[in-house]
Amino acid sequence: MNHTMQLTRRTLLAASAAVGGAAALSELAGPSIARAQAGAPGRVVVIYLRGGQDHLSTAIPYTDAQYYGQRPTIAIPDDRVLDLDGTFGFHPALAGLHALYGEGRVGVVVAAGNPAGDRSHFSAQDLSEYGDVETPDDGFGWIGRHLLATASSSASPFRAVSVGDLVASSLRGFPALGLSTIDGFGLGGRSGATSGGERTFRALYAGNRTIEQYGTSGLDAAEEVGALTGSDNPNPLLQRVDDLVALFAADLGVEVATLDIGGWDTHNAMGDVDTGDMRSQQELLDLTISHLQAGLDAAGQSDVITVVMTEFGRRVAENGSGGTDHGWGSVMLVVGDGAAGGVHGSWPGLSPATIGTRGDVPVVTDYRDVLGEVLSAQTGIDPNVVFPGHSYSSIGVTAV
Amino acid sequence: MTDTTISTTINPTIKSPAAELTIADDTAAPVRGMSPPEAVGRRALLQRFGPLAAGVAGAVALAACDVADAPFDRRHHVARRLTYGANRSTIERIEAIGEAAWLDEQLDPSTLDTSDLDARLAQLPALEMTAIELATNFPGGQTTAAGAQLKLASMIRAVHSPAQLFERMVEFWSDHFNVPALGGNQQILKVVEDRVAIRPNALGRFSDLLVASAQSPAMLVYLDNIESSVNGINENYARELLELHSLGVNGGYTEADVVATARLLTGWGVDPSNGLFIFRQQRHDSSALTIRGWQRPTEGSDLEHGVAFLRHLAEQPETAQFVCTKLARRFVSDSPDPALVDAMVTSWLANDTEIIPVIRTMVAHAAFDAAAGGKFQRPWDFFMNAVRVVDGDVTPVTNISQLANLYAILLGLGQPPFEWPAPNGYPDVEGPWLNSGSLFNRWNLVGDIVSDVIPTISPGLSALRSRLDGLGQRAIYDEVAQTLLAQDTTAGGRFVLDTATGWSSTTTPSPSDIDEALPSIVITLLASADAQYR
Repeated sequence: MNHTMQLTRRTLLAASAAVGGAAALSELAGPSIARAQAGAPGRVVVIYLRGGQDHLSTAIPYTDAQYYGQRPTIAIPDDRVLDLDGTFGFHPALAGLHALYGEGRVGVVVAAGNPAGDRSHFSAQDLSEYGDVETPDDGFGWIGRHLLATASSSASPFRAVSVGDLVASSLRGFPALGLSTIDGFGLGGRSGATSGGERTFRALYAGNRTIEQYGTSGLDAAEEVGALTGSDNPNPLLQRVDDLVALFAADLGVEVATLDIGGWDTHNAMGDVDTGDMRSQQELLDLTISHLQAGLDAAGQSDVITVVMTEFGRRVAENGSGGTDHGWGSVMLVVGDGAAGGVHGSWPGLSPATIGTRGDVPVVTDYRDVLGEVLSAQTGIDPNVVFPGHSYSSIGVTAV
Repeated sequence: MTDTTISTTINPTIKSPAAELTIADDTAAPVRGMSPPEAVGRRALLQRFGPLAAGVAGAVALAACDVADAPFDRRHHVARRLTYGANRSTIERIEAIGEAAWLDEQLDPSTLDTSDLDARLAQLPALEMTAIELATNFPGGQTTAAGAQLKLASMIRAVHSPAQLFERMVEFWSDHFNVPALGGNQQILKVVEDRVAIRPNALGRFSDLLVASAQSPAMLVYLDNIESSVNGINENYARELLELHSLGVNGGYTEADVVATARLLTGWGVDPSNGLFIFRQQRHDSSALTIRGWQRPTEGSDLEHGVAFLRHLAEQPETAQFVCTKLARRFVSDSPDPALVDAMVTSWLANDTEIIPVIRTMVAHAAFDAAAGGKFQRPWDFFMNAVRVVDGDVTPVTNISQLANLYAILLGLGQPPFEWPAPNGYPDVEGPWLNSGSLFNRWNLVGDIVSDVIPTISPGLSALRSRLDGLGQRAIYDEVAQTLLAQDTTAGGRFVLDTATGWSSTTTPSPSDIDEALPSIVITLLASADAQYR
């Protein structure tokens, strides 16, 4: 589909949304736009694990005695892990993910994250969503920069969708769509009192202030969403996953979607291999990814790539209450047909000299190289546009 | 029995979609309170919004018309920023006694007549119970009903309390020291924390508030400090104390400071026999330590050392800077003027962390006026404002099934009270809240309020309605806009309103025409872009 001639009002509004930054970004992204327009843009789902997912309970270095020495009560026994490559194994609750791994559709990036390190949930999340490693903030999220740089390639109000109550910071700078559920989206409410007011609301929001752009693009989106059937899955997370798949399947122009899974701040009661918070969190993650991939496959949308990330990994040693405090290096997952299956990134080990006095899994692979490669592979954009201040290099986590 | 027996396993994370108060849909629940005039039903409204809407192209051509406009009005601005909604009675009160006296009484709420509010809250008995009484009255799976009383009370207070600024400060501190009322015991402990730690200090000294929060069982459990002991620390609370409650993330502390703070606060726990704070000497690490140059004293008890450090933290310039910036962000602007924050910091440091002088400095500063109309309302602000300006009524109920609709609406808006799961509180800037889906929820909310379909909330449009008979199109629009927005309509606004009512500048509607059109006028004005800001 070629959208280049559709210079609609909406396109212009979207392009003008980023006062000042737009021109510079478009210039930088010139060649990328041309590539992106060559065909339908590839699609990406970003799943953010809020709270700091524990590397060592996800991709487990099960042959490392240090791992067991540092975690007397919470380590996963080596005969229970789901082997990946003889060095790492998945938590046994990640059986669905492990099956996808066996199909060569999961890339596991170990010791990944922000090379500058930050132990605050909130600044670490912000930085990873802005696409930076320290404090500079130009008002954009990394996906927002991508969408703005390619603003002329599509007029769809669905280019960026946050499936949830709040829009992810990674989408900042672009009028993203927030959608909790398909069935709850649109005019009406419990009374139906607003259902007939579309023309009035269009008139109310006809201007070009930022808020008015959001109002208009929401009304545009509602016309399309209204034709879809929402999921009635009783699990609210899986309901969102179903609805996301439905949006992809409806060919509405969704390019990037974000989804959050909370509950990873496991300061206490992580439990053992069979019980406790870590087990239930990993079950939730496994269920979510398995459900998403099965849904995409069934809907003929297997070209979508899913990236799983978190703000930081957790400390190597367990703390005084059977949990782990904030650490540094984390695992990133790349899932889908476009993933290069296998374990990626250098693993520095857990020797005392490596984890240092801070006791962290170090960051070896910059998270921006993972995100940049996926986005570039799917859309053709130059990752240096999306991550200014970073000199991008590919790590080979996508299939060529 | 150890402290961990009452610990729950809540993890501070951003918005997990799993909601605690999952209760059956209850659309058939009876509508309570005042009923709207007969003809002001939603069917009439649907008809209005349906076939009419003439000449939208013309409206588009007008582009970016504000629906209403007015010159800067200090009373209105003060009311919009310091209360939950500048309704008529608030504006009239400021007019009657003057802004200075009004601010004085807002800052000394003991002078206000709260009998109406008290009568409403008396119907929510959980609010006054101790933790043990709550555990007895709301056993097992029923704790959600205890938390629901607090959540409903916060709405009743926001709408009906004469102590409006006080309630806004309670909300501010509830975000600053966020403890979600989610999960079994936290539903109970948050009820107690709100009454014992937050409300008594909301207009007091920050140092008292910081100590009260640190010793609050809800906080001790939420951020795991009850599990931190000399045998094994848990850093969770110590880190958030420095990062979120006092110095701020750029406040100049090290990882070693986090660890030392955790050690200093070991042994702070909860007595399971009464649900109160307890210091357990045997769990405490009494070794010497230094935190950012603060040295543990050689005199006094180990408990007193921790309290002294908290008071020291409250007095640090970095703490003043961090908290005053947040206050200015809440009450003035997403990006507060540094000169305003500096003035507030000076006030903080000169007054022993007293909050009232800081508020006075903020309200008197030129940057306060300069920000008029520019603060995006969080969903809660928008909701409370809408109920107040339509003169609505919130009815206390304790039957949780009657709260199902209300709760579903709050979830959809993204801001059910006391449910942000992470320790940093609900976002306070426009970005996370404004998107293409969130506006629908606001428009639909206004429709639901006006149509009287939310049990516990009744629209009170009758007073406004009584002022409209005999008026022409423009005078009606202006009267409604004055009531809701304290502004007159613009030409563009009247054009848009005409698409909803089918009127024109020459229309003098009959009483039944007004009955039929009023809901759509109210919805349109409160759904406007301007009405999303305060």
